[in-house]
Amino acid sequence: MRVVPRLAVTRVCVLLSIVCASGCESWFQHGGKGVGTLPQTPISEVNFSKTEPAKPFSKLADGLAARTLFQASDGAGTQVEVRDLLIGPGRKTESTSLPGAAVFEIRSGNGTMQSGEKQRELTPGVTLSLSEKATFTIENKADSPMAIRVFLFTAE
Amino acid sequence: MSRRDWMNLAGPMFLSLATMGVAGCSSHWPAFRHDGLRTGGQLRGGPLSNAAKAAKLDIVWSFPASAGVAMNPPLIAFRASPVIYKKTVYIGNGNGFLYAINAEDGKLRWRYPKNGPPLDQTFHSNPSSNGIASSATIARINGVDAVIFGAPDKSIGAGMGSGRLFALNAKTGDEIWKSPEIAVLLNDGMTHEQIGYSSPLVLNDHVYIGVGDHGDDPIQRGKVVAVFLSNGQIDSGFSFFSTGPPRGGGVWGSPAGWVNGVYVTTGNSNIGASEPVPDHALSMLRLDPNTGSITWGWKPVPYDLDQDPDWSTTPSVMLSSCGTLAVSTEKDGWTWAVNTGNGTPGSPSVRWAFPPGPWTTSGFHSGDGTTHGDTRYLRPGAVWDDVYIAQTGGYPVTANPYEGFRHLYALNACAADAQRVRWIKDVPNSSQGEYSLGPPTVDRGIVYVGTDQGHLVVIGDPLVVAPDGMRCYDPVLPNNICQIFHLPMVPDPHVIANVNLNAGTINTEPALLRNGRVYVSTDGGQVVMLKPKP
Repeated sequence: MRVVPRLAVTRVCVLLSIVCASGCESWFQHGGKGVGTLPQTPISEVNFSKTEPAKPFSKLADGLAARTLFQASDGAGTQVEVRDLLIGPGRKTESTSLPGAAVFEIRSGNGTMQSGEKQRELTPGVTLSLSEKATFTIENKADSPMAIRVFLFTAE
Repeated sequence: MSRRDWMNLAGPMFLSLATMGVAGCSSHWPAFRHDGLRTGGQLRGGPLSNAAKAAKLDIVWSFPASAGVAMNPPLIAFRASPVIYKKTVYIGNGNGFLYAINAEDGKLRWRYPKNGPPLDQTFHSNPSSNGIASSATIARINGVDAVIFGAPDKSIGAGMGSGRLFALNAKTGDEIWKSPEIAVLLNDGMTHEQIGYSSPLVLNDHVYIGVGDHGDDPIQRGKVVAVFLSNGQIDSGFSFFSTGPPRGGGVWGSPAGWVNGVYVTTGNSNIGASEPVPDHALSMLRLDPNTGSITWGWKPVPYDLDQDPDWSTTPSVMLSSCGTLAVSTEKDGWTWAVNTGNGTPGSPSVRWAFPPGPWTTSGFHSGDGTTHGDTRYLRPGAVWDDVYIAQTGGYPVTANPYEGFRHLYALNACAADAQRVRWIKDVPNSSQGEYSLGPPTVDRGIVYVGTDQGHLVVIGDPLVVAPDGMRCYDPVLPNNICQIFHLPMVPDPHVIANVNLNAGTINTEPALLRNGRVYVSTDGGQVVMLKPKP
C-alpha cells in the first residue's frame, strides 16, 4: 500500500480548514470558474451604441477609410496635412489618389501597394513616398486592419 | 496538477493564506488594490455587486469636514488610496500625516505622528514626493492589528527625508516598529531615492517595498527591499536591484505577491549613455521572495527603443481559469499577461499582449513601426475572475498612443486574441487625456472608477446589466466603417451611477466594502464615504 506523507496530509487539512473557516473558498477556487466571454450578437440584431470616435474615419474609396488629424500652412505656400488611412483585414482598395505629395508610414498590417508599374511590400515600420496625384491601390493581407500615417504636402 | 505538485504547493499556500488572511479575501479593503495579488476586486459580494443598489450611491460624509475640528496643518492632495479595516479608514496625506478615521461617521480617531513634525522630505519634485503617497497595508504583528506604510523621515540618514517603513498599532496609532533607512536621500546632487507611491506588500513573514527616485535627474537604481514583519529590520538575505550601476529601473509601483513569488515592474534606464549591466529596467519580473533573485523577467522594449516608457503600473496576479497570470500595462500603452510559472527560473512565458502583434513573443524591434515614450499609462487594472479592466492603449496605440486615455477596457484574459476585448467604455466626466481616470476597482462585474473631473462613475459588465449598445472593437472606427470592414463589435457597457463628489480630481482607487460602503480620496484633500440610499 502506498503511504501518503503524514506531514503533507496535515498541511492540506490545515490549509482547507483555514480556507473554509475564513469564507475564502470562492476566492481560493477563483481560478476554476471563469466568467467566459460574452455571447456574440448576430450582426443583423446589433443595436449600435451612440458613442462615436472624437475624430472619426470616413470612407475615402472602396475598402479605404481616412481621417485628418492635423492641418497647417508652412507660411511659404505649402499646406501640410496629417492623415490616417485604414484598410480592412483582407481588403483591397479601389484605385485612388491623394491631392498632394505624400509620405506613408505603415503602422500595422501587412500587404502591398501598387502604383503604376511599381509594387511595394508594406510591413510595419516601412516608410515610402508617392508623388502628387499618383494613383495607387493597397491590399491588406493581414487579418487585422492596416493603419497608415500619411504626411501630405499640397501647394496653396 | 499531480499529487506531488499539490503537496509541494500546500506548504507555501498555507503560509501565504495565513499571512494574507487579513488581506486575501477580506470583506474589508485592507491593502492597496484590496490584497497582495493587487486584484482591485472586492471578492465577497454585497450591495456594491447589485446594480440596483449601486445606482443609489450617495455621499454620507466627507473628511475633514466630518471631523468637526480643523486639521492642523491643513490637508493637501491625497495621492495615497484609503484602506479600511475594522471600521477604520487609514490614509496618508501629502501634508505628511497618516490619519485613522472612523469609517462610519468620518470622525478622526488618531493621527501619526501625533505631535511630531510631519513625515516629509526636502525635495518636492512631483506629487509622489509630498508627504505620504504610499497607501497603507494592514497586517498582524505578534497578535496585534497593524497598519504599515512607507514615508519619508527627516530624523534619519542625512536629515533630508530618506524613506523608511512604519508599523503602527491599528487601534491606537502607537509605533510597533520603524525600519532602518530604505530609500536614501543625500544632499550630494546625486542620491535621491524615494518610496513614493509604492505600497508595502505583506507576504509570509516579510514586508516588501519598491524604491524609485525623485523625478530622475539623475535617475537612480531601482530596488526592492524586504524587512521582517515581526520587527522591521532589513533582511540582508534578500537583494534585488533592477540594474547594475549607475542607474535605472526605478520600482515606482507596488509589489504584488502570491505563494512563492513577488512581482514588480521597473522604470527605464536609457539616458543616453551605455546600457547598464545587468539591465532589468522596463521589465515585469517575478522575484524569489526569499532571496530577491529573478525567476523570470519580461522586457519587451529593448534599450535602443527606450524613450522613457517606465513600467510603473503595479502588476496584478490573476488566478484565472487558464492559469495564474501576472498582468500589467506598460507606460507606452501595451498590456502584457505573463504566465507566472511554478517558480523554476527560466525564460518568461508570455500568454498575450494587447494589442497583439509580432511583438507578443519576441518584444519590439527597431523599424517595427512602434514607439515607446513617456505616455502615461500608469494605473493598475482590476481583476474580476478572467476579466482584466484597465486603461490601455488598445488597437490604435501604434498610430496614436494617446487614444487609449479616452477609454476604459475590459479584456478577456483567457480568450484568443480575436476575443480579447470584452467591452470598451468612454467614461463620462473625464477629460479623456493623461491621468483622466484613477485605478478602477470591481465588485463582481460592477466597476468603480474616479475621474479627473471629480466624479465616481459606476459601470456594469453586460453580464450584470444590459449595455447601451455595440461599438467597434477599435474605438477610432465609427460603427458604420466597422460594419463595412466586417470587424468585430463589442458592448458599450451601461453607466449605473455617476456621482459628482465636488472634492477635486480623483487619482486614487475607490475602496469597496462588502457592507456597501465606498471610500474615495481626492486631490482636493478629502476622503469621501458613499453608500446606497435606502
